Amino acid sequence: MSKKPTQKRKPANKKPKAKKSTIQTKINKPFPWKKWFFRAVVVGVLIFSVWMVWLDAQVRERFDGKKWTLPAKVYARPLQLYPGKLMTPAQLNAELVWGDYRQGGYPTTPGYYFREGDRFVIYRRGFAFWDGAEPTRRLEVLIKNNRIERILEQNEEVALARLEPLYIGGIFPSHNEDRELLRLEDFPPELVAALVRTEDQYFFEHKGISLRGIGRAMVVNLKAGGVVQGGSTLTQQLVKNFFLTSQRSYTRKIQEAFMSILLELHYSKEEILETYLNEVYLGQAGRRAIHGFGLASRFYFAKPIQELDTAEIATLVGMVKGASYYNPRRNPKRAKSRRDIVLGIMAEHNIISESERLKAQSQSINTVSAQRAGQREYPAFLELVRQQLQEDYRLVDLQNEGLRVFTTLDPWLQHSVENAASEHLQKLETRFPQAQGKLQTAAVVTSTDGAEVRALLGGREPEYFGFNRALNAQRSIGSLAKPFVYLTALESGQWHWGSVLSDDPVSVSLGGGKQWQPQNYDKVSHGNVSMLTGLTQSYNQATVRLGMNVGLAKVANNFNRLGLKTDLPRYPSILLGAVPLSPFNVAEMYQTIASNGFVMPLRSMEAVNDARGNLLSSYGMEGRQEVSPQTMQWLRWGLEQVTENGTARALKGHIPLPIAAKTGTSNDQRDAWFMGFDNRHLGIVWVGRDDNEPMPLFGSTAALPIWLESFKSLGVEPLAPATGFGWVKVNDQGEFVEERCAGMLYPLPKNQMPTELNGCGKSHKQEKRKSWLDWLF
Amino acid sequence: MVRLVVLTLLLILTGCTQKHMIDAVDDTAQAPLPTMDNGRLAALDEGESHPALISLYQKAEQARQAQQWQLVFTYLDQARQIQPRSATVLYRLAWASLQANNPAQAEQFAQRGLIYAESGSAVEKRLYALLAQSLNRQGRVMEAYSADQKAH
Repeated sequence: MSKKPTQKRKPANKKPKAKKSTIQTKINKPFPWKKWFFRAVVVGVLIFSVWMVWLDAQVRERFDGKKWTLPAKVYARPLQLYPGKLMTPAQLNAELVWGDYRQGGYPTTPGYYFREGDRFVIYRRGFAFWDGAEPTRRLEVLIKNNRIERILEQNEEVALARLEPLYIGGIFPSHNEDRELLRLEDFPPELVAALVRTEDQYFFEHKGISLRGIGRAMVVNLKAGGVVQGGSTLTQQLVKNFFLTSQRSYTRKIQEAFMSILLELHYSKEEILETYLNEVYLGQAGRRAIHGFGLASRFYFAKPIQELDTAEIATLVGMVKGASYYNPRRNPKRAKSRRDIVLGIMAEHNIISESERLKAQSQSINTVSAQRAGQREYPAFLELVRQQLQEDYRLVDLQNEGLRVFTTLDPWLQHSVENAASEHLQKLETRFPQAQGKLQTAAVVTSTDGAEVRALLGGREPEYFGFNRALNAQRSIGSLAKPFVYLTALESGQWHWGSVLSDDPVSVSLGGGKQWQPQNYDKVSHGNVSMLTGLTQSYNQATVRLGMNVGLAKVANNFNRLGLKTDLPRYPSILLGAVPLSPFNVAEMYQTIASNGFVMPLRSMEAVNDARGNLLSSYGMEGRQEVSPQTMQWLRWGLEQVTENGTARALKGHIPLPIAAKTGTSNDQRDAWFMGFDNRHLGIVWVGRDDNEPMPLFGSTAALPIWLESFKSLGVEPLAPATGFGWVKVNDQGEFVEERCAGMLYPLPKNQMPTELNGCGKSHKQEKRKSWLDWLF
Repeated sequence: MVRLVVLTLLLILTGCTQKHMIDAVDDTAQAPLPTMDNGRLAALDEGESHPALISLYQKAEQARQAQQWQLVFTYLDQARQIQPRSATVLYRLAWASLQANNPAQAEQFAQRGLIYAESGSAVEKRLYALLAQSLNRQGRVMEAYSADQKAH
């Protein structure tokens, strides 16, 4: 209706005529191909130019700036060597092997050592320690009676030296790339030449892409009837790895070609080569991707790249074609045949002589274990380092800035703990087949004086990046809580080790008509016992009675005073360790006891350097005196009696020296604990099941043996005798009595020594004894 | 008369023991005290010590003169790790802390050193003197006075 096209209403004789004439004109005119072509070309050139500008910006931005994200490298403590240091030849040998030192004749190059019995000659590598770089040194170390007797360098006595620390892991970004950055001049010239001749022999002639190379590859491929050779130049390979994805498409290939040309326009061949040598992917170590020849050299051959021989160089160069396919560990035959091809190319181009080729070809492929100490990681300890580092550094900086973190980990001790735990759990599971594969463990070892964490075990598979029981498992600590009750009593001034406690059945009112009636483990009551016996035999009834007597709040407060950061509920069950804590938490509290009352945060780091070697942070000993040293030594004496004649007396047969210890077993034997310290180290060991089910084990049977084996290989140093104490005889009523009377001698702080002593069988009202001064005057 | 003779003998013996103890302190304190300059330690590397400690003290002293306090503490902490219970190492840590304007840390090191210092020894007195200074700088005058009394 009204929506008819308006055209139809228009006069038909005018407009169509005009239209016709325009169309005709257009038809008569030839299509302006040239004009459109010109326009298209202009637009195309414009688009191409914009694209090229964009590509150029991409290339320059990435290449001019920092090329890689560099994960923080984490190192163990360096091994200090000085005359008088306690050290077995076995330990020194192990640390050298872990540090990728090779044993041989008299060493003439860094990285080698010579051993003759207890005499070592070590050609130490140069290393940038956190407090300064040190050059290579050839040291002669003489050990006698498990102590370093002398250190000589060019026949001069050396007071102090150290070995470079072991690499123990990295703090990686999500892609987990790791590399050891080297400058071009650090790579052996033979390696660079072999790489160029094998991968891109026209590298120094082309401008990013090589038509000759493509042509040659096509010929080879045609002859072979398949793709056996790529035509990509080293520059193209670098562009592919560095800027692009691994997707295979023509667009990507074109982009790669242009970017290669741009790269060559802006940067020298040397810069491109150096980047390639550091970028190329050469293998995988668990979560860690091995990039660059520098790291690959250490990873496969345990050597810095300068120390590689011809055969090893050819093996690594051969891997560029396919790091997995030619992996010398997994596919040694393939790797060897590829290596021999590379050796042939090297000889063909006079990089090596024919005799060198023959010699290298006769060698078998000898790689080192990927799991060896020098390349494996220590996940549990690394987690602690990462947590503590994040108090001072942003995670993004830790993952990207190439920081070097020097830690307190003692590899010898760590290996001792790992081995002891693994062997003992296997033994337990053989004895108790129902526990097969179900037992787990965790351990923390610190130095008693400095609170440095020396070993940390997060589970029975120490290389597994999984649940870290040492830091995160929250388990009832059982009788490890008891010393805090006894400390509270000793501090009160009303109790001493000879005080009498009742171990009769006890009932604690919980309010609301509820009663708590804890029992001893053996369900036997022991009547009156000394406070010392209560601790050494770990009597529950006596301890609960004492704890309620000294005050629940005071006991709970002592947990916090000694280093526990969370507040405990004021339940009576805390007296028997119904407190879920991690082994690390337990170590924090016992550290205060072991260090004479100083509360010290457990520390996993010594120092942090930036990528250039500047010292960013150093972490020394920190602490504050919270409990008097004398009270702590008094408590320590009680803990020493636990090994003397208490629940940890099994230790005495193996180590007949004063050691402070406490066993712990939680309700229904769900957790087995052991704490022990000597003059140098504190160790906490936990054994239990992840599903928190009961086990047929105790602290003394499950955790103590792990502690024992670890400390035996470390070497135990007996606790120094406590100072500032006198000895007084106490009878079975808990009264101070004369020396001639029946009773036991107990230590008392000198300022608490009684002025009056009871006579035998009598109480308090004894005649005052004359002192020797009375006799003299 | 007999009593007088016994008393005299005892006093002589006590004197001998006293002398012996002082010698023993010098032997067992691992690092005899550095010399003092107007009542203060002049340098970290003074005095005799285990050669390993001397080498660290020398580095620490160089760093101190360059006011590189982080390095000072890292060298002294290495010395502490070699002899963790040496009162003289802890004394140096306390002294350096005070110089680095950290009296709270100096107080803790001094207290720590006092645990291992022989009773009545020279190092104990100097540790008390340092403790007094560090307490004074924290405004804890009464405690400082008490420590100072023990220093003399």
